[in-house]
Amino acid sequence: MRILPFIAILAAALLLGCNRMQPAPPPFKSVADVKQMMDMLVDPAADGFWNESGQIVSAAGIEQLGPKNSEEWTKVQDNAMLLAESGNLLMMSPRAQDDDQWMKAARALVDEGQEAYQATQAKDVDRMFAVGADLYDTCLHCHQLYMPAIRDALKALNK
Amino acid sequence: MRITMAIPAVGLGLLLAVGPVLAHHAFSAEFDAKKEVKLTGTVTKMEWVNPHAWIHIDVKKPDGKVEQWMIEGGTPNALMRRGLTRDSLPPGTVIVVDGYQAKDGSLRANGRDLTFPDGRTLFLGSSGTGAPYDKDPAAK
Repeated sequence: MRILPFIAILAAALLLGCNRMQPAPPPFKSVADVKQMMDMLVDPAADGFWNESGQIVSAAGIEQLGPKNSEEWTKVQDNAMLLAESGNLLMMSPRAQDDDQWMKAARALVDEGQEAYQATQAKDVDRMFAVGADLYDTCLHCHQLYMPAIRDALKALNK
Repeated sequence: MRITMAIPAVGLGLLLAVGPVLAHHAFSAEFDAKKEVKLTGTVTKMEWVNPHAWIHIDVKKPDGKVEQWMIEGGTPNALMRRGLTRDSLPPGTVIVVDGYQAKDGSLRANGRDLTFPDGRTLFLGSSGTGAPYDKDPAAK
Protein backbone atom coordinates (compact mmCIF):
# COMPACT_ATOMS: atom_id res chain seq x y z
CA MET A 1 0.00 0.00 0.00
CA ARG A 2 2.82 2.38 0.84
CA ILE A 3 4.17 1.99 -2.63
CA LEU A 4 1.06 3.47 -4.27
CA PRO A 5 1.79 7.12 -3.50
CA PHE A 6 5.30 6.59 -4.81
CA ILE A 7 3.97 5.16 -8.10
CA ALA A 8 1.53 8.03 -8.44
CA ILE A 9 4.28 10.60 -7.94
CA LEU A 10 6.53 8.78 -10.40
CA ALA A 11 3.76 8.62 -13.02
CA ALA A 12 3.00 12.31 -12.58
CA ALA A 13 6.68 13.16 -12.94
CA LEU A 14 6.93 11.05 -16.10
CA LEU A 15 3.87 12.68 -17.63
CA LEU A 16 5.20 16.11 -16.82
CA GLY A 17 8.53 15.14 -18.32
CA CYS A 18 6.88 13.87 -21.50
CA ASN A 19 4.92 17.07 -21.84
CA ARG A 20 8.07 19.08 -21.53
CA MET A 21 9.76 16.96 -24.18
CA GLN A 22 7.01 17.61 -26.75
CA PRO A 23 7.75 20.42 -29.15
CA ALA A 24 5.63 23.51 -28.87
CA PRO A 25 2.78 23.64 -31.38
CA PRO A 26 3.57 25.66 -34.48
CA PRO A 27 2.62 29.29 -33.98
CA PHE A 28 0.15 29.35 -36.84
CA LYS A 29 -2.81 31.65 -36.65
CA SER A 30 -5.70 30.94 -38.98
CA VAL A 31 -7.24 34.14 -40.27
CA ALA A 32 -9.92 33.03 -42.73
CA ASP A 33 -12.88 30.91 -41.67
CA VAL A 34 -14.13 28.12 -43.94
CA LYS A 35 -16.53 30.34 -45.86
CA GLN A 36 -13.86 32.97 -46.45
CA MET A 37 -11.43 30.30 -47.57
CA MET A 38 -13.96 28.95 -50.05
CA ASP A 39 -15.06 32.35 -51.34
CA MET A 40 -11.63 33.93 -51.55
CA LEU A 41 -9.28 31.05 -52.30
CA VAL A 42 -10.77 27.69 -53.22
CA ASP A 43 -13.66 28.74 -55.46
CA PRO A 44 -11.73 31.19 -57.62
CA ALA A 45 -8.88 28.69 -57.93
CA ALA A 46 -11.25 25.86 -58.86
CA ASP A 47 -13.07 27.99 -61.42
CA GLY A 48 -9.76 29.17 -62.83
CA PHE A 49 -8.64 25.56 -63.15
CA TRP A 50 -11.90 24.18 -64.59
CA ASN A 51 -12.16 26.96 -67.16
CA GLU A 52 -8.91 25.90 -68.81
CA SER A 53 -9.98 22.49 -70.11
CA GLY A 54 -12.91 20.99 -71.97
CA GLN A 55 -14.43 21.65 -75.37
CA ILE A 56 -17.10 23.82 -76.90
CA VAL A 57 -19.11 22.40 -79.78
CA SER A 58 -20.89 24.88 -82.04
CA ALA A 59 -21.62 25.50 -85.70
CA ALA A 60 -18.05 26.82 -85.94
CA GLY A 61 -16.66 23.41 -84.96
CA ILE A 62 -15.03 22.03 -81.84
CA GLU A 63 -13.01 24.48 -79.79
CA GLN A 64 -10.47 22.98 -77.38
CA LEU A 65 -10.19 25.04 -74.22
CA GLY A 66 -6.85 25.55 -72.57
CA PRO A 67 -4.20 28.10 -71.74
CA LYS A 68 -3.01 29.95 -74.83
CA ASN A 69 0.32 31.33 -73.68
CA SER A 70 2.91 31.04 -70.91
CA GLU A 71 1.15 33.63 -68.80
CA GLU A 72 -2.08 31.63 -68.86
CA TRP A 73 -0.19 28.40 -68.09
CA THR A 74 1.42 30.06 -65.08
CA LYS A 75 -1.97 31.21 -63.89
CA VAL A 76 -3.55 27.76 -64.12
CA GLN A 77 -0.52 26.20 -62.40
CA ASP A 78 -0.93 28.72 -59.59
CA ASN A 79 -4.59 27.81 -59.25
CA ALA A 80 -3.80 24.09 -59.12
CA MET A 81 -1.16 24.61 -56.45
CA LEU A 82 -3.54 26.78 -54.47
CA LEU A 83 -6.13 23.99 -54.53
CA ALA A 84 -3.57 21.46 -53.30
CA GLU A 85 -2.36 23.56 -50.40
CA SER A 86 -5.91 24.64 -49.53
CA GLY A 87 -6.52 21.03 -48.55
CA ASN A 88 -3.83 21.39 -45.90
CA LEU A 89 -5.25 24.70 -44.68
CA LEU A 90 -8.67 23.07 -44.29
CA MET A 91 -7.15 20.46 -41.97
CA MET A 92 -6.05 23.14 -39.53
CA SER A 93 -7.91 24.06 -36.39
CA PRO A 94 -10.38 25.68 -36.08
CA ARG A 95 -11.46 24.94 -39.64
CA ALA A 96 -11.41 21.16 -39.38
CA GLN A 97 -14.84 19.86 -38.40
CA ASP A 98 -13.82 16.35 -37.38
CA ASP A 99 -11.05 13.80 -37.72
CA ASP A 100 -12.93 11.54 -40.10
CA GLN A 101 -14.77 12.58 -43.27
CA TRP A 102 -13.54 16.17 -43.13
CA MET A 103 -9.93 15.04 -43.09
CA LYS A 104 -10.52 12.51 -45.86
CA ALA A 105 -12.06 15.19 -48.07
CA ALA A 106 -9.29 17.67 -47.28
CA ARG A 107 -6.67 15.04 -48.05
CA ALA A 108 -8.42 14.22 -51.33
CA LEU A 109 -8.23 17.91 -52.20
CA VAL A 110 -4.48 17.85 -51.54
CA ASP A 111 -3.98 14.76 -53.70
CA GLU A 112 -6.18 15.94 -56.55
CA GLY A 113 -4.71 19.43 -56.37
CA GLN A 114 -1.27 17.85 -56.69
CA GLU A 115 -2.43 15.81 -59.70
CA ALA A 116 -3.93 18.99 -61.14
CA TYR A 117 -0.63 20.80 -60.67
CA GLN A 118 1.31 17.98 -62.32
CA ALA A 119 -1.16 17.99 -65.23
CA THR A 120 -0.60 21.71 -65.72
CA GLN A 121 3.15 21.22 -65.58
CA ALA A 122 2.83 18.56 -68.28
CA LYS A 123 0.57 20.98 -70.20
CA ASP A 124 -1.88 18.11 -70.63
CA VAL A 125 -5.40 19.51 -70.97
CA ASP A 126 -6.99 16.05 -71.16
CA ARG A 127 -5.41 15.15 -67.83
CA MET A 128 -6.57 18.49 -66.42
CA PHE A 129 -10.11 17.72 -67.59
CA ALA A 130 -10.02 14.28 -65.95
CA VAL A 131 -8.76 15.51 -62.59
CA GLY A 132 -11.18 18.44 -62.80
CA ALA A 133 -14.03 15.93 -62.64
CA ASP A 134 -12.48 14.24 -59.59
CA LEU A 135 -12.07 17.61 -57.89
CA TYR A 136 -15.76 18.39 -58.36
CA ASP A 137 -16.77 15.01 -56.93
CA THR A 138 -14.62 15.69 -53.86
CA CYS A 139 -16.07 19.19 -53.44
CA LEU A 140 -19.64 17.93 -53.80
CA HIS A 141 -19.18 15.03 -51.39
CA CYS A 142 -17.76 17.36 -48.75
CA HIS A 143 -20.53 19.92 -49.32
CA GLN A 144 -23.16 17.20 -48.92
CA LEU A 145 -21.77 16.50 -45.47
CA TYR A 146 -20.85 19.94 -44.19
CA MET A 147 -22.52 22.67 -46.23
CA PRO A 148 -25.93 23.42 -44.72
CA ALA A 149 -27.52 24.62 -47.98
CA ILE A 150 -26.97 21.20 -49.55
CA ARG A 151 -26.91 18.92 -46.50
CA ASP A 152 -30.18 20.26 -45.11
CA ALA A 153 -31.90 20.32 -48.50
CA LEU A 154 -31.02 16.67 -49.07
CA LYS A 155 -32.23 15.75 -45.59
CA ALA A 156 -35.51 17.58 -46.13
CA LEU A 157 -36.07 15.96 -49.53
CA ASN A 158 -35.43 12.48 -48.22
CA LYS A 159 -37.49 12.67 -45.03
CA MET B 1 -9.40 26.16 -16.62
CA ARG B 2 -8.15 27.96 -19.67
CA ILE B 3 -8.71 24.83 -21.75
CA THR B 4 -12.24 24.39 -20.42
CA MET B 5 -13.14 27.88 -21.50
CA ALA B 6 -11.44 27.54 -24.84
CA ILE B 7 -13.45 24.50 -25.95
CA PRO B 8 -16.86 26.24 -26.06
CA ALA B 9 -15.23 29.21 -27.76
CA VAL B 10 -13.79 26.99 -30.47
CA GLY B 11 -17.14 25.21 -30.82
CA LEU B 12 -18.89 28.52 -31.33
CA GLY B 13 -16.26 29.53 -33.84
CA LEU B 14 -16.87 26.34 -35.80
CA LEU B 15 -20.61 26.92 -35.85
CA LEU B 16 -20.13 30.45 -37.09
CA ALA B 17 -17.66 29.29 -39.69
CA VAL B 18 -19.89 26.54 -41.04
CA GLY B 19 -23.19 28.41 -40.76
CA PRO B 20 -23.65 30.23 -44.05
CA VAL B 21 -20.95 28.36 -45.94
CA LEU B 22 -21.07 28.89 -49.69
CA ALA B 23 -24.46 28.90 -51.21
CA HIS B 24 -23.71 29.01 -54.88
CA HIS B 25 -23.00 25.31 -55.24
CA ALA B 26 -26.44 24.45 -53.94
CA PHE B 27 -29.38 24.11 -56.32
CA SER B 28 -31.47 26.43 -54.17
CA ALA B 29 -28.98 29.26 -54.41
CA GLU B 30 -29.28 29.58 -58.14
CA PHE B 31 -32.46 27.85 -59.30
CA ASP B 32 -36.09 27.98 -58.25
CA ALA B 33 -37.74 24.63 -57.60
CA LYS B 34 -41.14 26.28 -58.15
CA LYS B 35 -40.26 27.68 -61.56
CA GLU B 36 -40.54 24.54 -63.65
CA VAL B 37 -39.96 25.05 -67.35
CA LYS B 38 -40.46 22.88 -70.41
CA LEU B 39 -38.43 24.17 -73.33
CA THR B 40 -38.39 22.99 -76.91
CA GLY B 41 -35.41 24.41 -78.71
CA THR B 42 -32.63 24.00 -81.24
CA VAL B 43 -29.14 23.29 -79.96
CA THR B 44 -26.66 26.02 -80.85
CA LYS B 45 -23.76 25.14 -78.60
CA MET B 46 -22.58 22.53 -76.12
CA GLU B 47 -20.06 23.55 -73.46
CA TRP B 48 -18.44 20.28 -72.43
CA VAL B 49 -16.74 21.63 -69.33
CA ASN B 50 -16.35 20.92 -65.63
CA PRO B 51 -18.04 21.12 -63.27
CA HIS B 52 -21.23 21.30 -65.37
CA ALA B 53 -21.94 20.87 -69.04
CA TRP B 54 -24.06 23.66 -70.54
CA ILE B 55 -26.38 23.24 -73.50
CA HIS B 56 -27.35 26.40 -75.36
CA ILE B 57 -30.67 26.31 -77.20
CA ASP B 58 -32.75 28.72 -79.24
CA VAL B 59 -36.36 28.60 -78.13
CA LYS B 60 -38.96 30.03 -80.51
CA LYS B 61 -41.82 31.70 -78.69
CA PRO B 62 -45.44 31.72 -79.99
CA ASP B 63 -44.99 35.33 -81.06
CA GLY B 64 -42.03 34.37 -83.24
CA LYS B 65 -39.35 35.81 -81.00
CA VAL B 66 -36.38 33.59 -80.26
CA GLU B 67 -35.00 33.26 -76.76
CA GLN B 68 -31.49 31.99 -76.14
CA TRP B 69 -31.51 29.65 -73.14
CA MET B 70 -28.61 28.05 -71.29
CA ILE B 71 -29.30 24.68 -69.69
CA GLU B 72 -27.06 23.42 -66.91
CA GLY B 73 -26.43 19.69 -66.89
CA GLY B 74 -24.44 17.32 -64.72
CA THR B 75 -20.71 16.84 -64.96
CA PRO B 76 -19.45 15.59 -68.33
CA ASN B 77 -18.40 12.35 -66.62
CA ALA B 78 -21.85 11.79 -65.14
CA LEU B 79 -23.53 12.55 -68.46
CA MET B 80 -21.24 10.15 -70.30
CA ARG B 81 -22.17 7.39 -67.86
CA ARG B 82 -25.82 8.05 -68.75
CA GLY B 83 -25.10 7.90 -72.46
CA LEU B 84 -24.71 11.55 -73.41
CA THR B 85 -21.41 12.52 -75.00
CA ARG B 86 -19.94 15.78 -76.22
CA ASP B 87 -21.14 14.91 -79.72
CA SER B 88 -24.63 13.66 -78.87
CA LEU B 89 -26.29 16.99 -79.55
CA PRO B 90 -24.78 18.57 -82.66
CA PRO B 91 -25.89 22.12 -83.45
CA GLY B 92 -29.30 22.07 -85.10
CA THR B 93 -30.67 19.19 -83.01
CA VAL B 94 -34.15 19.90 -81.68
CA ILE B 95 -34.57 18.83 -78.08
CA VAL B 96 -37.01 19.19 -75.24
CA VAL B 97 -35.72 20.06 -71.78
CA ASP B 98 -37.65 19.91 -68.55
CA GLY B 99 -36.03 21.81 -65.72
CA TYR B 100 -36.07 24.72 -63.33
CA GLN B 101 -35.44 28.35 -64.20
CA ALA B 102 -32.86 30.57 -62.51
CA LYS B 103 -34.08 32.50 -59.50
CA ASP B 104 -33.03 35.80 -61.04
CA GLY B 105 -35.37 35.27 -63.98
CA SER B 106 -32.57 35.04 -66.53
CA LEU B 107 -32.83 32.56 -69.38
CA ARG B 108 -30.88 29.87 -67.59
CA ALA B 109 -32.27 26.63 -66.25
CA ASN B 110 -31.14 23.59 -64.35
CA GLY B 111 -31.94 20.71 -66.67
CA ARG B 112 -33.73 17.67 -65.29
CA ASP B 113 -34.89 15.64 -68.27
CA LEU B 114 -33.67 15.74 -71.84
CA THR B 115 -35.81 14.37 -74.65
CA PHE B 116 -34.10 13.55 -77.94
CA PRO B 117 -35.78 13.97 -81.35
CA ASP B 118 -36.50 10.21 -81.44
CA GLY B 119 -38.34 10.36 -78.13
CA ARG B 120 -35.60 8.89 -75.93
CA THR B 121 -35.24 10.61 -72.58
CA LEU B 122 -32.26 10.97 -70.33
CA PHE B 123 -31.70 12.39 -66.86
CA LEU B 124 -29.69 15.55 -67.35
CA GLY B 125 -29.28 16.93 -63.85
CA SER B 126 -26.63 17.14 -61.15
CA SER B 127 -27.28 14.65 -58.40
CA GLY B 128 -26.78 15.55 -54.77
CA THR B 129 -27.04 19.32 -54.88
CA GLY B 130 -30.45 19.54 -53.21
CA ALA B 131 -32.48 19.74 -56.43
CA PRO B 132 -36.11 18.54 -56.31
CA TYR B 133 -35.17 15.42 -58.28
CA ASP B 134 -32.80 14.38 -55.47
CA LYS B 135 -35.93 13.28 -53.62
CA ASP B 136 -36.10 10.03 -55.49
CA PRO B 137 -32.69 9.04 -56.85
CA ALA B 138 -34.08 5.67 -57.97
CA ALA B 139 -36.37 7.43 -60.41
CA LYS B 140 -33.41 8.69 -62.39
